Amino acid sequence: MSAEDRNDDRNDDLNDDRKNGPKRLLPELLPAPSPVAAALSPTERVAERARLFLQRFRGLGTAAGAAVLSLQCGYGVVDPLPPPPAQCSASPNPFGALTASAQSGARQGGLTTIVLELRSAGYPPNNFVGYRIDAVRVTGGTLVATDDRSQTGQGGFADLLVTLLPESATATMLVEVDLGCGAAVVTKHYRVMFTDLAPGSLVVVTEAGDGSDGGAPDGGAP
Amino acid sequence: MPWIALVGPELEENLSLRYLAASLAEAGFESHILAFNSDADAVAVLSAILDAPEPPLVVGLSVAFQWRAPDFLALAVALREQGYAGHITAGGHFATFAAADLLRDFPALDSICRQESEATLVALVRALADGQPWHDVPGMVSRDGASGGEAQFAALPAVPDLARLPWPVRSGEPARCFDHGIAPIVSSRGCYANCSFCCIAAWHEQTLPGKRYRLREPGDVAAEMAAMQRERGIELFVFHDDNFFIPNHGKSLARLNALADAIEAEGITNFATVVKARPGDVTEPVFRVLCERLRCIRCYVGIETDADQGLITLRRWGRSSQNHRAIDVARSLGLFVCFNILMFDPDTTLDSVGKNLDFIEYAADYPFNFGRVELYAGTPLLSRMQAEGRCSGDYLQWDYRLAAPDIQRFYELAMACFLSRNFGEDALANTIQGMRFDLEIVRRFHPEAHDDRLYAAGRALSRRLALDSVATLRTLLGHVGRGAPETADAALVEPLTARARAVEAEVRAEMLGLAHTLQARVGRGRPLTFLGDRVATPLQRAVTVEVAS
Repeated sequence: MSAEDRNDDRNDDLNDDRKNGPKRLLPELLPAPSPVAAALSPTERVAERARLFLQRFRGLGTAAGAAVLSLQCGYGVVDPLPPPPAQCSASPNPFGALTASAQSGARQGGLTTIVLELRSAGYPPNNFVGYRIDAVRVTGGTLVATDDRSQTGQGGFADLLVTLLPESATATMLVEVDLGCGAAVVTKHYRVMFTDLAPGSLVVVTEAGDGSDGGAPDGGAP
Repeated sequence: MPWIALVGPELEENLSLRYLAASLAEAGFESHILAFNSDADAVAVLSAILDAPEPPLVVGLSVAFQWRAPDFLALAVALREQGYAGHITAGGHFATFAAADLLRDFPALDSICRQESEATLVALVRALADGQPWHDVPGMVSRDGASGGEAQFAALPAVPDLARLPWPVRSGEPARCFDHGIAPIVSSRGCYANCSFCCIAAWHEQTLPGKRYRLREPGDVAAEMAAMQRERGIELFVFHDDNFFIPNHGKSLARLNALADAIEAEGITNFATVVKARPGDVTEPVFRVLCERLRCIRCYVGIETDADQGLITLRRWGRSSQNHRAIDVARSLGLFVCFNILMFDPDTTLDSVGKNLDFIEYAADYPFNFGRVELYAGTPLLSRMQAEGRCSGDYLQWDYRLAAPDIQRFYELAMACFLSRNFGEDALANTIQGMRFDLEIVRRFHPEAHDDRLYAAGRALSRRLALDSVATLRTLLGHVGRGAPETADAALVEPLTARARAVEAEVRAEMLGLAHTLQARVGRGRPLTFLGDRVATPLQRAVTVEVAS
């Protein structure tokens, strides 16, 4: 059997993938290095992403989607529904559950804002709530607003947003966030790096240790 | 009729999925390829499966890339949450190496198809369609009910006979550059090399230890090319072989000539090729045939590192002199090449960075990019780093710090300066390769529109960007190397970054102007510069950073 015989008409039986969109020629792309969200397990990270997919699939906004997930989604088929989050004061290391990320936000006064998000997991063992922001100090930018969007129902999590306005579109901001959890307090030090900032730009956050042990923060290299 | 949903990246024609689709078709099963290029496609994929009049019998997830694994796993979870009750399997490099972890942690998955899975997937689908047991299908990984769900590995099947595999399905519209159809193709499978950071050699070592490289007959390759040209108007054939060349120059020469003879015999006259090469492959006699008979217009040369330390750490089986020879040969033949430098690896020193900067400067007329070696499942480098206790993270994403504080500091400063140039939205280090490619397409297919001055201007643009990168990195290197205080980092990085963005803005503007000029001169289609502007974005957007506290 010739090669062409093997393949005659094979495509006729198959679905046309024209809907897949125009194809490209890919260069040999290098992966961008990205730190690991170590506070979340693989199943937690995937579940968070699945939650996002389901929200979009059901045509819901973030807040509404979270509520519906709690009521209807169930995760009963493949993953157990996470319990409601615990109060952070119950944790021996309450601030260890928070991870930081950042993304570019809305434009304001000709510059693009950056939203620094401090979040806990929606799954045990790091699904804590009850945090508060006591103060924010910014070098290289200004504080625009803080917001607490934490959710306390099943699958809930801490979600603290700090909106910042950098001094220029190409810079590094140093952000100190005084966090509280009951009587416990800590100062988190973040270096927020960005270049050519515009909506959709990459923003890198690195954390430079905290002051919870009373020692000087490692505020040098990110 | 039962159908199979094949889900995977389709930024370009995904040959792995299309080979699977062809084998399924040969066995009488219908399959649909569902593009899942980024998380933005999740809704479309979910809809295609969940809203289908009849749900697919099997959903096959192509999990070749480790960094995309969370997307595919989340898709599986979401399908289950929405009530999909069919079989979900996964395959590809990452799924193969992480099979036990994935089946342990993700009940949404029913199985993993290990390795080259044409026969495995067909047998799985046939068993499911017939209501027969499937756990012992060769190549299958499943949960062992008797042992509490631990992964149970069926023996691997024989590797597919490349002479008998049906050609990949070619449905849909191909990519185009100036309206010239582009399609990927492979003339071989496997890799004979042993690079420590690469999962491809490790993958093939599982099935063919010590003999990891299989070739298709040149006549079969040429016949597939002819069919694509006849049926789809393809003129540009992108060979995705991990090793297009044989590790023997005489045999390489013979194979290239045999392929060129077969192409001539098929009557293919208007075509060009794109290939990849290891530096050691690049010799004048072999590449002269590549350029003249196979009409190669672009070769990615896997330089990876020019530092002796890096060559050892990465097990490149090569020497700096071969890297330089590769560039010299390309120059002498007028061949457009590009390359990547893995500037940062677990053993990198400031000295090895300096060596790589010297090389980039030497080859500055060719586009390049640089980054860090990442730790991928199945690789010897990951095993080494785990043994040394240097990994953080987990099997979905490993991270590590470089060997010494000074090089780690340099790395972080470099990333701060180069994030958007190398990895960000419309990263110029990638898009400028598209502009150079456009120039080659025009030179090959539209000689009447070719202009030596435009060509030289394009080369000068990529040279300017390369030398700017070198200069910026050398400034950072000097800063760290002389032990400047860390408190001075921000004051150095900020103006350097601003200057880098200004250079990029100028280069990008000239690049786009050049592409517009080419488009006007050619008078058909669109240049890759415009299309390529969007190429890197979906792949890189997923890396917005989360940092553990």
